[in-house]
Amino acid sequence: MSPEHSRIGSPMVESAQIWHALWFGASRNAALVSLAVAFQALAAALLGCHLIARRRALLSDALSHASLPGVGLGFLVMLLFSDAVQAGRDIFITMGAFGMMLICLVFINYASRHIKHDAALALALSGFYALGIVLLSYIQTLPSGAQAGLDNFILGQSATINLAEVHIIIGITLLVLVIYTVQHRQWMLLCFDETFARIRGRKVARQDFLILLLSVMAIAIGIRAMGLILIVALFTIPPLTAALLCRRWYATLGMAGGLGALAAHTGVSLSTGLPEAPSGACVVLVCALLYCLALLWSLGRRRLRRPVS
Amino acid sequence: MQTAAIVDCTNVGVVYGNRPVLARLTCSLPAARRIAVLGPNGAGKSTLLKAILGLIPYQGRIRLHTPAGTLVYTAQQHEVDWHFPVTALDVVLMGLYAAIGWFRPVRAHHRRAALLALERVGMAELAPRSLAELSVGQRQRVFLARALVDERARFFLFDEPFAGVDMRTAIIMHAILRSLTQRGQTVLCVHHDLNTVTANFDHALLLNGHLVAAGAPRQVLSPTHLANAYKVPLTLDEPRAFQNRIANG
Repeated sequence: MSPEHSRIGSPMVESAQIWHALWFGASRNAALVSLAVAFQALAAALLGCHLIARRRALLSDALSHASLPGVGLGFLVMLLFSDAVQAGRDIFITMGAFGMMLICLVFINYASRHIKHDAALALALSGFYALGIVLLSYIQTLPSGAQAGLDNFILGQSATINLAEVHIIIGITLLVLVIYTVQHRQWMLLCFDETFARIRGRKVARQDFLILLLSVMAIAIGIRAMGLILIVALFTIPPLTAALLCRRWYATLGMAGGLGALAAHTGVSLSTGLPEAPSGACVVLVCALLYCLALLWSLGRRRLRRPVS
Repeated sequence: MQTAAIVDCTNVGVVYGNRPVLARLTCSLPAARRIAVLGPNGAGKSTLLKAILGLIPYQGRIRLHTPAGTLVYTAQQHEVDWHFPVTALDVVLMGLYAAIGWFRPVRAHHRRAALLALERVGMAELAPRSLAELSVGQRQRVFLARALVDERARFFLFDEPFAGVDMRTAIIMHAILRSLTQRGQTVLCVHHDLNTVTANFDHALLLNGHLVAAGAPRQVLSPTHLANAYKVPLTLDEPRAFQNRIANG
């Protein structure tokens, strides 16, 4: 449905389309994209549980904002190879975002030695994001820049994801899951009692870096659907929701992953039926709704358990 | 007869930023003994434990007479995330991770060993309880059980294990520490209650940025040494009086 169509009074919400998308009935491509985004959300929630336990949730926010200049630089590098917008341009952009987040990570690590960690985060977040905005406004003035649709990286638009990207998203997510399976016990110990892990001979700094590196990869593959401003929600809201519902670590991880995937699929499906609605915002809204429901359930359970005085 | 040492410290010094926390510490800690590390706040007690464990850089030399894998450490309470979603049993199982291996699943006999350790500290019935739901004393006992469950452990280092613990729990914990030394294991405790040292420890170190005194608790806790360490005149209850207080509940 075109925006003009909606403005003259036809229904704004295509509920049938949303219903089809929810049951993977829209089209094979749309179903694949939705599955890939859900899969990516699962990995993000899994990593998010560890980031929150390590008190690094804000770091993932700073990193995702810092990917914006990488998006612009990736696009400019792509232009160096060919002036025309290619089908594979998004891979350049994803690589650019990944590289810029790594640079930001190094910067934050360095700055944290001289100033307080949260101040270093604020510095990196605003500085890198401002650089990105300037780069993107320059790109808009280029002949091929105006139609590049780089704004999609800021708010997220899953409809423009192509099959090559779906493969990358699934590949990186599988990599995260395999590494998690190998490291899960060490990461749990690290999150719970760092000193104990160090005495047991674990290389804590190395494990921390691995979690951050995988998080950066998960952000890089996720910004296309979620947008770089909102992707942090996938790392924080499902783990927080799961923490309300579960009492054990592995149950929390499983619940967070499941809720993240469910919210991502539902949000992406919603965005297909809401004209011009960014998929990132729809996913975050579903995440927030699930959190509110979990909060109500948890409050109700606490009230029921309270002894009668 | 001279007892074999578990660790020898020679001229050990630790500096945090520009602030020296511990200086010129030379001492030898006897094996198979309960050793109390005493001193006022900021005296370098926890720092000494961390230096022995190799968690912080230090000057001088620390020679351990037991392999590094046999050291077990329980940190101060504020260093652990008490709201982490784990049960008491999960925490004790962590003590077995090195034995289980980092990739192999936890088996029934591992769970049995963890439950036995919880039983030793009188916490078996609370095994499925979340850590966040336990009292301070119960948490300390869970951490003691995590230390006990590791069969390779020879040298236990506890940082203020009796902080916030009620008298009943303290009695249980002291009895367990005694049983450890009877089996040839060594216990090093940062401790604050000077009145309980003589009755419950075999050796004491009194610190105040440097070593004030080391040796048998009764000698270490002399008024002169205490005044040197705490900079105020201190007198202690007689050990017998404390034991009577315990006996009377």
